[in-house]
Amino acid sequence: MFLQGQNNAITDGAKRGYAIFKEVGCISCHQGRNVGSNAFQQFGVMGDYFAERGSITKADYGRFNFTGREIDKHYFKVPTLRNIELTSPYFHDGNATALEDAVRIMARYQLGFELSNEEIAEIVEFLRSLTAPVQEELL
Amino acid sequence: MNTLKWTTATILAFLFSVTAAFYWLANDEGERKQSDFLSLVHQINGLNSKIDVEVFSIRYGVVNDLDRLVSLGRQLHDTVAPWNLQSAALDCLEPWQGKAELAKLLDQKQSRVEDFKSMQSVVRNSVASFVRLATSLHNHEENQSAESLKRVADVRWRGLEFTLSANTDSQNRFRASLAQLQNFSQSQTSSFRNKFALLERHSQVLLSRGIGLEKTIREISDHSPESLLNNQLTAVSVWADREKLRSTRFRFALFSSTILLIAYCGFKMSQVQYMMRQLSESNATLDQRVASRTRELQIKTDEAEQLALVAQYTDNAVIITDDQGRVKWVNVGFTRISGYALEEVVGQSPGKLLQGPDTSKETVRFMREAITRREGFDVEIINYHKNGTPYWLAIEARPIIDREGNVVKFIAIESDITARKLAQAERDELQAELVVASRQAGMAEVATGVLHNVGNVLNSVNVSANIAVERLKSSRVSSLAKASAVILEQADLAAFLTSDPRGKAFPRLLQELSIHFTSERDVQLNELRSLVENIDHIKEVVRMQQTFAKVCGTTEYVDLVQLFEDALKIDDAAFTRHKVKVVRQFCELQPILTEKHNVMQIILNLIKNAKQSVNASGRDDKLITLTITADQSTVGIQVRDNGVGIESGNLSKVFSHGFTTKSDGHGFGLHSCALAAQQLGGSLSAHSDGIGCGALFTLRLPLEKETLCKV
Repeated sequence: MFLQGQNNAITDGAKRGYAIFKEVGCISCHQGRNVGSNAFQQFGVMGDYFAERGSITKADYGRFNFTGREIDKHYFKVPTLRNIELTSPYFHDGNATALEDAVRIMARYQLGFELSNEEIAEIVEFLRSLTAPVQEELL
Repeated sequence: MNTLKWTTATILAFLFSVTAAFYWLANDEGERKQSDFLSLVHQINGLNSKIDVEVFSIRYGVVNDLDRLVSLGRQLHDTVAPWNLQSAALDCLEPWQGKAELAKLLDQKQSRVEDFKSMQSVVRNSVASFVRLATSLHNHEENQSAESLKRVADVRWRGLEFTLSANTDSQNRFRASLAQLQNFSQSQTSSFRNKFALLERHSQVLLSRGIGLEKTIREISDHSPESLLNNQLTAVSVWADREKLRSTRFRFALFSSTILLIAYCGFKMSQVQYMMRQLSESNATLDQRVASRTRELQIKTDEAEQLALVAQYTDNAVIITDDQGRVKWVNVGFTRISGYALEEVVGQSPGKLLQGPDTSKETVRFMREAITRREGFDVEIINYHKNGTPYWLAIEARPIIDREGNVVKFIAIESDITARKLAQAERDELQAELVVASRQAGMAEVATGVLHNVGNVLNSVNVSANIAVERLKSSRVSSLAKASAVILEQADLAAFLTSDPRGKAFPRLLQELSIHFTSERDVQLNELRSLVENIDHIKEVVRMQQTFAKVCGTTEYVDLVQLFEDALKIDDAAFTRHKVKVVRQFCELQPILTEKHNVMQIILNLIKNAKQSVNASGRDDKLITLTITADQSTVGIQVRDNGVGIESGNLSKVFSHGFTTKSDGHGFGLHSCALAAQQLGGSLSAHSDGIGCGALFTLRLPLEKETLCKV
């Protein structure tokens, strides 16, 4: 609702979180109606996530496993952030259980920023505002 | 008529099929398929260019999110999805080889679009961060020197230039500018260095991907299906033009054949109308005929029902047989009369079941022959009940003939005439008795008449006879006897006559006697003459009586065989005595109406003659053959012997009055026989091959005797 311009639909913290979300660049991938879910992206644009995590598995190659193209290595589908609060654990390897950890990892390896705990908390608050009850009749 | 119908049907079917074929051939598939294909091409091209435009819009920040690009990609994918590619539109000419190529091209394009999205997100983020960081660096509190400002501004300018133009030249310039700023930053504070380091990382991202991004965008727009589709479009339009030409030709043919069909239908319609008019006229007459036929049929049906009722319930037996005389149906009457039920007699010949020992073989043969000749017959016959009781049956059988003239069955109606037969037998017996009685009465009457007349005359005869007796009693014959005895006693007759006184009286006595006898003879003669006269009178009376009695003989039914047998019986002993063999050759014969006594008289005469003839011949193999034959109108009775025969010269005389060859014959027998035969309406004829060759006498009598009473 907020994303459609209804200003009072979410809390102020969430609004601040959305501002940070846009400023640091999350929005460049997590965009569109579903806040993501309409492109593929390399995991570790601004840092080598897998090298730092260690023990690389085949699943870590991502889209490469389907296309066989070298440039698709470590490319994953950008997930939607709608109801992200409910889909723990996060990432293809389930490396992050808490939303805060996921936000930190994303900012570090994808955007090259180290976010403060306050910033992360506000972003998380925004992300929680994207949670909506599942409309069962649509299933 | 039938041939005509077939011809019409064939022509119509032919015209129809030709028209249908032309219609099918004239169908211009080309135009529709071409337009279908065209719209598909437009759709694909439209989506393709929309994707290109969307890519450019995203690249240059006109559009921020990727939703529309994703949805366009999905639309294009759906449009050229395999099931869609198999559409008639693409294959209108023949299976389009370029289809796979098109699908592959669009797949590649989609893949480039995915690459573009990834790169674009990263690049976009880095550009934003680069701009933000550069601005931040430019405004850094420690960075107030002209040198540093100039360098930061140069880097920002070169970075943006490269971002927008993305060619090698601008890349090099950006890289050079960045390197100068790096050198410069060595001398700056750590805060500045840190910010620069971040800026540098984003710049590296831009440098590494900017060119690739531009290349990908170019590739996206290069992967255009337009030329592929255009080629096919050209081929399709060429084909469509050809189709159009062909269909135009067939349209003309269709038009012609339709005209032909309509014309033929019109022609046939007018014919049909004419025939309908005729038909309705004939229908009217037909209706009338049907109505009258129905009436007739109703009458006939009623009649048939009534007949069926009659057949079912009549007391008479009704039998229906097939043409071979085997039973197909019998009614209740049959069962009642014969004791046999329908089931027992079906398929059998009724005669075999019903006939018995007393059944006339002649009648059975007659019936069988009639059936063989397919003719009806009426007979009276003895049949036997199931329990063995005989009964008389009158059978009236008729053949039933179908349209072709074949006998298909027989219908026999049989009535039980046992009672009638018994009554008739009684009547016949009574009749015979009556005849005998009346004959006796007649004879008595005749006798009375005769006796009366004869009696009268006999009186005179008696008187005359008595007178004669009296005269003879008083006759002086005794005196003569005495005289003759006296004479015979005398030894010396001469002495006696001369010497004796008695002797001397003798001449005188003789004279007296002669006178007396003479007178007595005269008287006697007179008396006897009178007697003869009286006897003549009696004869006359009897003759008169005979003539009177002959006025009309009694006719009756006579069984000739029986008559023959009776006649033979009379002479039976004589035949045995003289060893004469009698051969009988009698055909079966119904009793004929004739005068029994006359016929008997003739037969007796003929047999007697034959007997005498064979006896006279003295031969050992004495043979008399008796034959009865019958034809349509006459009965022939023949008596043949192998006796003395008749001289050919005498053949014509044998029937003459007084002619005889016998020593003691009168010549009257055959004469009277011939007369009697004439009187019976028949004839008597004689034949012989000569002396010693035997003789044949033939009596012919009519079967129907109507002129019998002719006198």
